[in-house]
Amino acid sequence: MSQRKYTKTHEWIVKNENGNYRVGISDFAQNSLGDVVYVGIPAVGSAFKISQNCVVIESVKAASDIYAPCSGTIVAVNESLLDNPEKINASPYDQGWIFEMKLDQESELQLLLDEASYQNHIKN
Amino acid sequence: MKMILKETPLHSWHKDQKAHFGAFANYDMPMHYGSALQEHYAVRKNAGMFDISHMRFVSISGNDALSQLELLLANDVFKLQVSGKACYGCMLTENGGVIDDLITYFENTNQYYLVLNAGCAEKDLQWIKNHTNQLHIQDFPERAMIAVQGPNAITIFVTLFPEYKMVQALNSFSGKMFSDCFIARTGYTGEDGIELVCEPKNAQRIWQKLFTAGVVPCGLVARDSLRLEAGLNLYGADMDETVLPIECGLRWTVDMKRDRNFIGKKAILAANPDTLRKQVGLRLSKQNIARHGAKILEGGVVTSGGYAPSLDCAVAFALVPQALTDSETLKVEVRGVSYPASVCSTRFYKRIQ
Repeated sequence: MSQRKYTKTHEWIVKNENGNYRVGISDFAQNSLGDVVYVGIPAVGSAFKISQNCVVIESVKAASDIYAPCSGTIVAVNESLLDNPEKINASPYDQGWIFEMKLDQESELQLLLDEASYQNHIKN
Repeated sequence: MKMILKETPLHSWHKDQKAHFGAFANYDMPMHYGSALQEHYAVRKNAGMFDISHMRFVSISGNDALSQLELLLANDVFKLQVSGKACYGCMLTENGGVIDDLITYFENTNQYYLVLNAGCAEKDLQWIKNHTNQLHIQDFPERAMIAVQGPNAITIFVTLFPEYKMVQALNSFSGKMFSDCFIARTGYTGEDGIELVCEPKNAQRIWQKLFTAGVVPCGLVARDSLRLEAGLNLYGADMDETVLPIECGLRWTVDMKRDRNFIGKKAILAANPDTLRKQVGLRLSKQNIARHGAKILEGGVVTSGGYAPSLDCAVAFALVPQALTDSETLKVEVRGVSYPASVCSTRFYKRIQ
C-alpha cells in the first residue's frame, strides 16, 4: 500500500495495485462538512487539471467543491455514493472513495502533503 | 483582526459534548453535535432541544406601552387581551421594510415582553428608544433561552419538571411567567414544543436534566432545516429592510383591520401591487440544492434553500416578480446550470395535528 497524500484543500490520493490513483476527502473534511446528502461524481473519461473543481458534495449545511489533487483522467467512479452518500462520513478513506484517476504526470504528487504535514496543516 | 465571539451560558456544555461550532449573530454557537440529520429526525419523531440564548428577551412597560407598541408593530397588539397571549409580527421602517420579525407577549396593557432576533437586538432596541417615549425598556442579554421541540417535547418536559406542568395547558402562542422562568408554547421547527427563558444556572440544570432523559441536543444546522421544511422565514435571508412583509409571505401579520396608524403602514398602502414581489416555495431534486442567492432565470432569487430531510428532496423559498407566481415550474441556476423547480406552498412539511 503506497503512502496516502493530501492536498491543502483536504482531498486525499493513494496509488492502487493497478497503478491508478484513488481519490476521496479526508476525515477532517467530512467532519467539517457534516452529513453528506449528495455527491456529484464526475463521468468516467473526463479529464481534470490539478486543482480543477471536479466534484460537488452537498451536505445538510452547504455545498462544497472538491478539487483534483493531480492532473489526469477519471477511470472509475464510486457509483454506490449516489444511493449511499453517507459513506463519505462513515468511511472517508475506504468505502467513501469518490473516483479513480490515471495521472498525467506522477511528479505532481511531490506537490502534495504527506500524513504528518497534513496533520500539521489541519492543526493550524 | 479576529472577532471575539460571545458565548451562551451553555457554551461549555456544548464544548464538552464536542459540538461543531460556528459563528452566528456574533455568538459562537453549536452547529451540530455529530449529525444534523439525526438531530432533525429526533425533533420530528420525538424531542430535541436547542440553545437559543443568542436571542434577546426584552421587557416593555409603562402607562403607554399598548399605544406605543401599536405604533411600532405591524401586527396589532390590541387584540392580545388575555395574559400570556402572544402574537408574531414585524417592526417596519417608514418605507415598510422589515427591521425585525418578533414575538410580543401580553401581560397587561402596561407590561409586554418581546423576543428579538439575535442579530437585530441592538438595532431593534435603538429603534424602539428612538420612536417611543416614557417607556421602560429592560433588556436581558444575560438570560438563557432553551427550545424543547418535537411531538413528545411537552410530555417529557412536564414529567421531568412537574413544577412547570401548567405549560401543558397553554395554548399555542401563549406564555406564562413562573417565579424562576418564562415559558411559552412556541417554536421554530413546525413541531409542538416550548421555549423558555431563565437565569443561566437554572438553564444549565434544565438542559442537563433533559439531556439525561434522552432529549437530543440539536444545533443550528438542524434548526435551519426544520424551519425551512415548516415554511418559517429567517431574518436576514428571507427578509430584511429592503423587503416588505407583504412580499415575503407575512401579509397575515400585517393587521389593517382597525383604524390604527403604525410605522410603515403608509408605505404598505402605497405599494404598487404590480411591482410587489411574492414569496413562493420551490421543490427540486436533492441533486440540485438551490441555496440562498441562487438566481431564478425567469426573474427573482432564492432567499433560503437546502436539503429537506423529512422529504428527501431539496426545497427553497424564492422571492419572485408577481407575474411568475402562477407558474408551475421555474428554472433555478445552481452552479451555473439551470434546473427545473416546481412551484408550491412554502409549508413543505405539515405535522399531523
